[in-house]
Amino acid sequence: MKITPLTGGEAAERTVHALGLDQTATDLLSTEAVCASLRRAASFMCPATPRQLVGAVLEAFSTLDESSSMTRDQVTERLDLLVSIGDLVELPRQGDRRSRQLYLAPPSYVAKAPGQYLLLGVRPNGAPIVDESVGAEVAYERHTRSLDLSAEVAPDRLRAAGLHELSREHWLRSPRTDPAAAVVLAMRQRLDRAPESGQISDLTIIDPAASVLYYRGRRRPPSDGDSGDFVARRPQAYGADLWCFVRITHGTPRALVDLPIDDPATPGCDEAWRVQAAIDAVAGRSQLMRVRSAAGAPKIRILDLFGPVPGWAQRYLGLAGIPVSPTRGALLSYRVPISVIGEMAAFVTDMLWMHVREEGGVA
Amino acid sequence: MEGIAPGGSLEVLKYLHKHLDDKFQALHEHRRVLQPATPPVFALEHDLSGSDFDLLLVAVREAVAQGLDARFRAWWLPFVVYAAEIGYDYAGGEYWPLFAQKTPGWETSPGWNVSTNRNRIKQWFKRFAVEYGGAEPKGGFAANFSIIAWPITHAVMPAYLQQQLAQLLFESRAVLTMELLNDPHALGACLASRTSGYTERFQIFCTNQNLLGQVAAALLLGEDEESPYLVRSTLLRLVDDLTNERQSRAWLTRAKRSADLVRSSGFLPETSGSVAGSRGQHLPTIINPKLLLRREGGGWRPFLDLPDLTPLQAQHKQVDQELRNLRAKVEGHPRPLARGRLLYPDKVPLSTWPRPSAPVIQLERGSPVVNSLIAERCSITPGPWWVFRKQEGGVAIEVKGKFVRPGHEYVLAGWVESALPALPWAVKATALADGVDIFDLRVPPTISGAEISQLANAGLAVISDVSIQPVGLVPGSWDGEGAVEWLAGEPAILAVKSARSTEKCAVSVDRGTTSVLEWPASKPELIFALDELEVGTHDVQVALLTADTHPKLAGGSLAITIRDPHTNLEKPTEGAGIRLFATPARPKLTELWDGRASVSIDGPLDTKAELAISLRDDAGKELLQQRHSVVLPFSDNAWARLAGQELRKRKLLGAYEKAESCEVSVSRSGVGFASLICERGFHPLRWILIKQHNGGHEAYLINRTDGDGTQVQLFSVEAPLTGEARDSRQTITVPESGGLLQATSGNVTATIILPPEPNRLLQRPSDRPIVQYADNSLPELQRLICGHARWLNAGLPADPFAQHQREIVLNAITTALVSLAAGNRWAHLERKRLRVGDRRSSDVLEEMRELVGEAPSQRALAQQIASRIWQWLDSSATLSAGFANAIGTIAAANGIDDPHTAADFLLRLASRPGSLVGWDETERHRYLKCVLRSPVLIRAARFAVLGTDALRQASDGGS
Repeated sequence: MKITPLTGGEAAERTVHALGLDQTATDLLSTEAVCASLRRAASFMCPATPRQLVGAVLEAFSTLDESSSMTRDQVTERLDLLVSIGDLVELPRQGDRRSRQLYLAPPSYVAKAPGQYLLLGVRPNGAPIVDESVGAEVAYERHTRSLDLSAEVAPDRLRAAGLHELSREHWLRSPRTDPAAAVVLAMRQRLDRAPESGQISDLTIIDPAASVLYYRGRRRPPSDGDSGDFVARRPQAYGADLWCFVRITHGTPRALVDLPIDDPATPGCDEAWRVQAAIDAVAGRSQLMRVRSAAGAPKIRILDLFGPVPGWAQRYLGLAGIPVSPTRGALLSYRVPISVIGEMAAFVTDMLWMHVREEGGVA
Repeated sequence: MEGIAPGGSLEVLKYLHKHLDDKFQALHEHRRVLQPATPPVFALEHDLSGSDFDLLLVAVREAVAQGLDARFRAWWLPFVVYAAEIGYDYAGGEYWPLFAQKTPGWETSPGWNVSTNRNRIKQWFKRFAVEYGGAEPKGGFAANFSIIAWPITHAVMPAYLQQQLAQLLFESRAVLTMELLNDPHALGACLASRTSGYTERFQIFCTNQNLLGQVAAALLLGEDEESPYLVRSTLLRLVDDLTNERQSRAWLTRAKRSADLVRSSGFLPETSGSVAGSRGQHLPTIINPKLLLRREGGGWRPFLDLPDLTPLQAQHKQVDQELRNLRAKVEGHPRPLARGRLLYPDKVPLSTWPRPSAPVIQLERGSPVVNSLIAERCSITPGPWWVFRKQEGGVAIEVKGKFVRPGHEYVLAGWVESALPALPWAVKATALADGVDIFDLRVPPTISGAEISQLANAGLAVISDVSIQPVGLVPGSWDGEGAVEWLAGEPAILAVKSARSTEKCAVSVDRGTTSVLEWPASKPELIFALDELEVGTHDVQVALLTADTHPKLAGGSLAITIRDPHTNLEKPTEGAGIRLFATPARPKLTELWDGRASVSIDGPLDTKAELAISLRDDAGKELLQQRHSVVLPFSDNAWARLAGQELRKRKLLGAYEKAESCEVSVSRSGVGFASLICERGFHPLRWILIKQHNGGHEAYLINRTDGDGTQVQLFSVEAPLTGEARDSRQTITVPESGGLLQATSGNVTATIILPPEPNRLLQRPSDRPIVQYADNSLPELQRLICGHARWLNAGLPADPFAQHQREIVLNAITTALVSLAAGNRWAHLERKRLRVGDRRSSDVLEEMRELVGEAPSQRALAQQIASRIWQWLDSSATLSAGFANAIGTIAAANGIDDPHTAADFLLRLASRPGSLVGWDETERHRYLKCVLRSPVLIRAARFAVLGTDALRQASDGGS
C-alpha cells in the first residue's frame, strides 16, 4: 500500500482516468467527466432523486473545483441530458405512483449507422458498460457514449457483453404530429376536469412571455399578475421534482395535472417541454433552431437549440449529429452533416413547431 | 493413424509405457520437493510428441479391439493417458458413450465385460496416484461418479468449461494478491466462492478447490514462466484452447495483466496490525448490514440494508444451498423474507428496533454451522445510541463511528429506556418502529464543554478540528462522516481539511508505518491517494503536526472499505427499473416447471412489459419461445396462474424434455430488462418421456453414473407408496393411470411423475389412490411423510394430467397421515369430506371445528381459527402468522416455545407433509412426538388449512 500526496490537478487527472476517460484530453469539469461521474453515482445510488445524484457529484468535485465554477444547475442540466438520451430513466417509485425517482436504464445499444453504435444505460456497482472483450474503445462525446465496430461482428459481441439492441424506430418513437393548438387544447381540457389544486408550495412556472432564447431566464415563481395555464414544476420532499400543467388565477394555483399523463414510464419533462413548445408556437413566439456553418468544415453545420427539448427529439438529433459544446447562448448544440439539415429542420418544425433560422456566419 | 504392424500394438504399448513411466516419475520427483503441499501429477501432462500420441491412440484402440487381455494390460499407462484425453473432450454428458464412440470394440468385443473394464481403468488411475503422485478426485463430482471422476480429473480442465474459467479469472482479477497467487489452495477457495452465478457443471468442477487453484495459478503466469503445477506443454495447450475463442482470450489476457501487476509491484498485505485478515483468510469482506432511516409521513422509519453473504460460501459448502432455499429472519422485521431473497440486494423495513442480543440475520431452520457463520460475520453496531447523518432525499445514513460535527444535522436513535443527554438542540421526532426513540439533532456551530461531556457519557464523540473525505471519484458509499467504500482497483483519493494552521500531516493505515506529508502552503486541505489497498476494511488515521512533528495538534480517522466488485449478487439490483425475483433463488428448470419455484417482477406501477420464456438445448439453441404481455408489478400468484395455464401445455412437452435450460426475461424498452436462467442442472440420472402415437407414454433412463447397481421402482397412482422393481436398462411403458418412477444409484436419485392417458381418467373419474397405514406411531408417520415427499419432489413433466394425478396422490397421503395422527373421529370426518366433496364442505368444516378439541382452551382455539381464517387468505405467510398467534398457548403447554416454528410445522404437516423432510431430523421427531401426544395440534392445523382453502375457493368462485 502506498500513500501519495497529490495536487488538486493530479487528483483530478486520476479521477478522470478512473472514470475511463483520457486524462490528457479531458478536464474534470468537462461535460464528459461530469456525465461519467453522474452515471457512476447513479450506479451505486439508484433508485435516487436527481438531487441526491447531483449532490454526490458536487461533493466529490468540490475540493478539486478551486474556482467553484461548477454549479448545481449545471450538473442538473447534464443529468437531464442523461435522462433524455436514455442512460437513466425517471419512473414512479416502485409501489408509489405519485413519487418519481431515477433508475438505471438497462445496458443497450442503438445502431446509428452500420458500424456505429450509441451505448445507453448504466450497469450497477460502477461496472463499465463494456470491457475490452468487445474489441473497441468507447468514445465519449459530451453526454453520449458510442463505439465503432465492424457491423459483421458488432451484434454478437455487444450481445455477448450483455447489451440489448434497441431498434432505431423504437428508440426514436415520438408522439404523433399534431398542430400546436391541438396539443394545448387537449391539455387545457384536462385542466378543466382537474379538481381544485389547493396551495402548491415552491411552484416554478415557465414564463411564456419571457424570451425563448434564454431558458434559465424563463423559470420563475408565479406572481400576482399571472393568470392562465402554465407548464410548471413543483418540488417533492423525497423524489424528483414533478412537472405539471397548472391553471393560475392572479398568481394562485387553481387546478393542476401532473405529468406524464399518458405513460408512467416516460419522463414528465418530455410532455412538459413539448407542451411549452406548443404554447410558444400558439402565442406566435415559436422556439428557435439556429443553423450555422462550422469552421473549416464546409459539409458540416452546427444546430443550436435555446431551450430543452423532449428526450425523443434529443435522441433524433443525436442519432444523425454529434452533441458539441453549446456556444453563443445556446443550450444544446449538435454537429450534423449538411445533407440531413433539411430532414432535421422538418422534424423540429413538425414535432415542436420550431422556427428554423439559417445564419451565414461561421461557428 | 495407420502404421503399426499386426501384433505391433503390444510393442508400441510397451514402449509408450516405459516412456511415460520415465516422464511421470521425473515429474513426481520434481514436484515432491515443492512446499507446502506437493502438487499432483495429471495424466494429461504426458508431454508426448504428436507422432507418439497418434501411436498411442492407435495402439490402445487395437488393444481394446483385441479384447484387452493380460498381455496388453501389463502396459497400462497408455490407457490412463487415453482415458484422460477423452475426459478432456468430455462435454458434461455421458462419458462412457463418448469413450465407446472413440474406441471401437469397447463394450462389444468378444467376452467383454463392461463393468470389469471400467473398474480396471479406475484401478489404473489409483495406481497412477500411488506410483506417480497422481491427482485424486475430490469434491461433489467425485462423490457421485466414482470411476469417471478419475479420467475427468486427470483431464485437468475439460474443454467445455474453459470459457467459464476465463470469465471467472477475469471477474476475480481485482482481488488477486501476491499471497493468493503463491497459494493455489487459497486461490482455489477464493475463486470457488465466486462461482454461484456460473453453470452447475462448472460449480461442480470448482468444488475441487485445489485443482481449480492450481490450474488458475498456472494460467495466470507470465508468458515465459514455468509453472510448478502444470508442465509447459499442457499449460500451453490449455491456453491455446482457451484463447481460440475471442472473448475468453480477452478475459484471460486482462486477468493475466492484473496478476502481472500484482507480481511486479511486489505487493503484499500489511502484516502488523492489518485489519484485512491473515494468511488463509482470503475472503472478500462481509460487509456488515447497514442501518438507515427514511423520512416517511412525518416520522423516521428504520431499514436494514441487506449485506452480500455469498462470500461465506467459501467457508462452508452448505451456505449456497441454504441462502438459495431458506427463508431468512431479519431481526426487527415482522415476517421472514421469501426463500432466497437474501441473494438480492434490498433494504428491509424494520417494525421493531433490532435487539442487541439477537443475531441480526438468521436462516429459518438453517444449519447451526451456517447460522453461526452469519451471526459471527454479520452484525450491527452496538447501542444504546446510533448516530445517523442526514442526507439529501430524506435519508439518514448511520455514522458507525458514533460522532457528530458542529454545524451538521443528524438523527439520533436509541433504546427507549436510554436516557438522552439534556441537549437543547435535540428534538424528539416520531419513530416509525417500536423499541426506539428518535431525535432530530441540529448540532450548533459551537458546542459547550458541558454538552461535549454529556454526549461522551452517551458514548458519542464530537469532532471539529479535522475532516477527512473522499474527493474526485464518487465513492461506492459515503456516510458523509467517517466511512467510505470503493471498489478494488479504484484510486482512493482523500482530502484532509482543517481550520487550524498546520505544517505536516501524519497518515497511517491499519496502524502500519506512518507517512508524514507536507501540508501544502496556503491551502486549507491536503490531498493524497492510497494506492493498492487490499479488499477488506482499513483504518486510516491522520494527525496534524507542527513543523517539528510534535506535538499532535489534532487528529481524525476514516474507515475505508475496499469492496470486491464480484458478481455473486443476483443481477436485479435495486437501481434497475425492472427487477425479477425467483423464489427460491436460482431455481432449476424443473422447479420452475412444476411449480416449486416462482417468479415475481417489480417495476413501475401499471406499466406493461413483455415476459419471454425460452427453452434451450445443451448447445444453447432455442427450442421454443413464448411471449406474454404482463402488467407490472407481477406477483408470485400471477406467475403461478401463468405457469399453470401455459407451461404445462402438452404441446410444450417435447421441447421441455429436450431442454437443458430456460431463460425467463422481462423487458420494457427503455425502462428495464431483467432475466433469469434456470438450468436443468447436472443430473447423474435423468428420466426422459416419449409420447407414443396411441396417446400413451414410455420412459427411459439416462444413466450418467458408472452404471452398475442402479435400481428402478415404479409406483402406481392406485398404490402410491408401494414400489415395483423395473430394469434400469429397459424402456418402461407408463401405466394408463400414470404413476411415479424412481431410479437410485448410490446416493443419487431421480424421480419423475408419469402422465396418465387422459381417456382413462375420463372413463374412470372416481378412481382414487389407496393409502394403507398401520399403527399410530412415529415410524409410521415418518413413512407417510417420506412417501409424500417422493411424490412432492418428483420431476413433473409438462403435462397437466400428470400434475392432476400427483395432486390426487398427495392429497390421499396427506389425508391418511392426518387421519392417523388426529384420531378415529377425525379420520371419519376426513372420509366424509372426501365423500361429500365441495357440495357440503361448509357442513364438514363446522363439524371439524367442533371436533378440534373438547377442553375449553381447545374450543377457544377452534373458535379463534374459525373467526379469523378470512384474514389469512392472502398468502401462506399470513396464514402462518395468524395460526402462530392462535396456537401459541396450546403449543407452549405442549413444550413448544416458538409458536411461529410450531405453526409452520403443523401447517405443513396438515397440508404438505413431504416438505418436512428437509427439516432437521431431531426437531422433526420432537414435533411429531408432540403431535402424537396432543392430536389437537394437528386437528387445529388441518382445520385452518381446509378452512382457508374452502374460503379461497368460495372467493374465487364468487369472483
